Amino acid sequence: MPAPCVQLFVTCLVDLLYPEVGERTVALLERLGCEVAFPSAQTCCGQPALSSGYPRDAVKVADRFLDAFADTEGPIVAPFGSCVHMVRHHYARLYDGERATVAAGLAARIHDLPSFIVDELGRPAVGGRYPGRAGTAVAYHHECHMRYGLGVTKAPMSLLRGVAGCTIVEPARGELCCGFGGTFSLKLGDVAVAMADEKLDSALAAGAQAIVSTDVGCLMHLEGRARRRELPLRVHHLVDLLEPDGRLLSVPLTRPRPRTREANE
Amino acid sequence: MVAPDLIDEFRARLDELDARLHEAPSLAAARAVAHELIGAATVARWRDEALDGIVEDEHEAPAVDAEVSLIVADVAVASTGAVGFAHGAGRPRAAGVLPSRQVVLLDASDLVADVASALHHVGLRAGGTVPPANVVFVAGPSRTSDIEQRSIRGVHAPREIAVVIFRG
Amino acid sequence: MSGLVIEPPRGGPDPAVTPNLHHAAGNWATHRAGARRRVDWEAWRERAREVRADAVRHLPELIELLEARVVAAGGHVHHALDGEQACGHVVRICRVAGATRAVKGKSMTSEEIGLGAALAEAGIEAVETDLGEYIVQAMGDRPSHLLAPAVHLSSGQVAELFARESGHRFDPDDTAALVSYARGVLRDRFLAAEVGITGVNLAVAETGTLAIVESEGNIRLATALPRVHIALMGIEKVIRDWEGAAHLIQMLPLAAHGTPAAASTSFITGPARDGDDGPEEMHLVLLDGGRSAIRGTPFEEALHCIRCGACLYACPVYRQVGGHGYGTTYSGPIGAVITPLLEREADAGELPWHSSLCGACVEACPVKIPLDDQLVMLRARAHERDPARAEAALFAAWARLWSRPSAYRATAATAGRALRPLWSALAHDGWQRRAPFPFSGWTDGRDARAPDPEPFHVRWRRQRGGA
Repeated sequence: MPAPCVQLFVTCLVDLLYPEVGERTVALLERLGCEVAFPSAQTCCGQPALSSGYPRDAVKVADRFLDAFADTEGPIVAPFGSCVHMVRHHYARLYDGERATVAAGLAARIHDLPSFIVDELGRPAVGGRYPGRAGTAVAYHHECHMRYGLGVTKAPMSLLRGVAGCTIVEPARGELCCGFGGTFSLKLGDVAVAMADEKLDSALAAGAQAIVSTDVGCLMHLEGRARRRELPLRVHHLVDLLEPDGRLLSVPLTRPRPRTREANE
Repeated sequence: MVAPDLIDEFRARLDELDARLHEAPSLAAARAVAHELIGAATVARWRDEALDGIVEDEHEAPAVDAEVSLIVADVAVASTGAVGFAHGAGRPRAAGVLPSRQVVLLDASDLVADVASALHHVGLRAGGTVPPANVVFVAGPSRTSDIEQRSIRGVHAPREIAVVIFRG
Repeated sequence: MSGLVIEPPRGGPDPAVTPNLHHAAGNWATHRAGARRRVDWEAWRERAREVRADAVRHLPELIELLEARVVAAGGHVHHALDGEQACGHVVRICRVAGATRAVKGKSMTSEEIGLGAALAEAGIEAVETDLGEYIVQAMGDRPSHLLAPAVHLSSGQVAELFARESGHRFDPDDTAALVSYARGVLRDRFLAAEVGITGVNLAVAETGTLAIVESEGNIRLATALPRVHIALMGIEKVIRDWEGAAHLIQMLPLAAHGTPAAASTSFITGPARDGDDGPEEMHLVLLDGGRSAIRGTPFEEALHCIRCGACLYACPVYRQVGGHGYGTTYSGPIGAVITPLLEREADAGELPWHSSLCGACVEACPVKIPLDDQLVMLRARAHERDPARAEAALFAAWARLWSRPSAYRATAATAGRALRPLWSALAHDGWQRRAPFPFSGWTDGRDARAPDPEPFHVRWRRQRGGA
């Protein structure tokens, strides 16, 4: 298809905590020939409130998503699948009447980044390189909302296989949730951390040196735990690996912290 | 005539279930096979013509003491490896479940392809007479994994099942 | 509850139990892959869902038909609005029959109504005959999984228990010897029992037939040897006809174990007849217990459950805390949904939060119950009934701010820039060891990523201009 004009839904977690993922998403889409628009009135899809049991608060925020995107055209692309799932699966239930029609229209236009690249742009691989020694072992962690919610696992793996300089390893029980789950990671913190430990330990047992995902919530949770345990694991968003020359701009690395930090604990 | 692939499928399922299938060209031959399988063990048997002449009277024992249960199946299911039988006069439940080994005679014309056909075949259907009071489908030996997920054969129902299929 | 932190009733992950749970879940995952190769899994699930949906939609009429057919076959039917009435029926049936010794098959419904305690109080001895349940009962413990009640126990604990009971020593690694011991003990109980009490997996309305699956053979013995059979059933277990039964009787073991047939399936229609040596009396106790109140609500699909246990095996939270971690009769994802709906237990309020909403349970469910959506609805319902004021205020403020783009951007600027100097004292390349309220729980076990001083929307404006 001729490269379209794409509406970027950057998502609040990427916007506020991983802005470089947003930048790389734009750079990648432009490299693939798309024109990227960023509707500036966007805020958040509303999922945190819905998941916590506050649907009315979720609707207040979801309304802004509808307003920001309703007057645009063409595909809407998000680098975070969980928000795509919110729009596709939950918006229909939050709205009725005319607003429901608007929501349905947006649900039909929204894509997660890997599916957009592989299925809509027809690009099963876009290159990329993992920097450093050849053959870094990488474990892919599928977002639960992409795997179970959207039924998407092939597209991200296809893109990952196109990245030079790394080999893909498959940890045991890789389909298990990592324990982020949004507010779950705070409410049942001990259980969430135990789930992260199982995921990190099984990645290490499979020989992984890096974990890659599109879920920045999972990335925060896994990297946060890996750092606390001082584990030799790097954690990346998939788009970090798709840079053509493997520059990996300002990607945080796990390294042992200096001993002078006792005063801060 | 039973399609050979039905028997093949049935045999494959029984293998997976760790149960034995013995094939005999006739009822007389099946009785001989059953006699071999039983050996010198004590037997609790059902009263059915098909089971006559397999066991000497002095080897018969009450269900609670017998080592082997000797019964006839009313139906068998190729897709699951199960044998099904209804209880009634001369076909007591106790004799069908208490002994730790079981030999089941099965007429090949009672082997059907799937569960739906089997249920129908054995009277578990609406319209007409009330179904038998108790019909049991057995797929392989009894087992448990309740202790640390270790699979053990033979708890309360038989730990060994041998099916002797014959052309009637 | 403040809503900000939830305590799992038994305190969180239990390292003594998790290896067993992981092993059991791993076995199930392997079996599940096998099941999906055997049949057209998605088509089978849809058919199973239809059968259950039909039954629940027509529940009153099917229960009526079931009753008529059971009675026509010579059985008795007793209706119980709640657990107390159900226990009352069971006790009365035993008393009228002059029975004081019972054997029991595994039945979550009997756990739900506290039948064990009611029988004990009435002076009726009821021995659990499912091996896992027998062990749990002998230890004075509670079952922790729908299918594997003793999954939380080690073979060492079992060997010790049997040694205490028998005076003999047992090698914990000789599982066959442990099973053989239990078999011997239970055989005597079966032979001495006057009443057999079982649950029911499915009841086929069109002929009044009860279907009960098992792997050990204890159900067959409990429904063969004693002279009275009492079957206890939640009303939602009824299905219309044999066509549906043929499908579900395969779906149940497929979802639970990956094989299309249980080791034994008993189809029981009334008491013994025609010279059969089974029970002279058969009683069906039908428990409502809050089930009919769920019909016609957005939670109706929860009644489709066939109690296969797949969601427990699939759940990443269950695998960390085990059944006891939920503290209720029904645990795992289905337990988190139906326990608050049946409004049975005091702890139920927190259950809908025992989930990361990953959706693995929905994918595992053979009848496609949308458990994750139902948990989200239950969370909203819980807040409406018992507002968590601090948390509600936080989300109200969040919604007020984030429903206005300018306020959203201002929050970002505040978090990123104004708090950054404060955080950077603790920070190390964008990560810190202490996060402020309301995120402080995060940093108990993890480092926290700080908000970027230049969010994406600011970078975009800087690089591209525009609004």
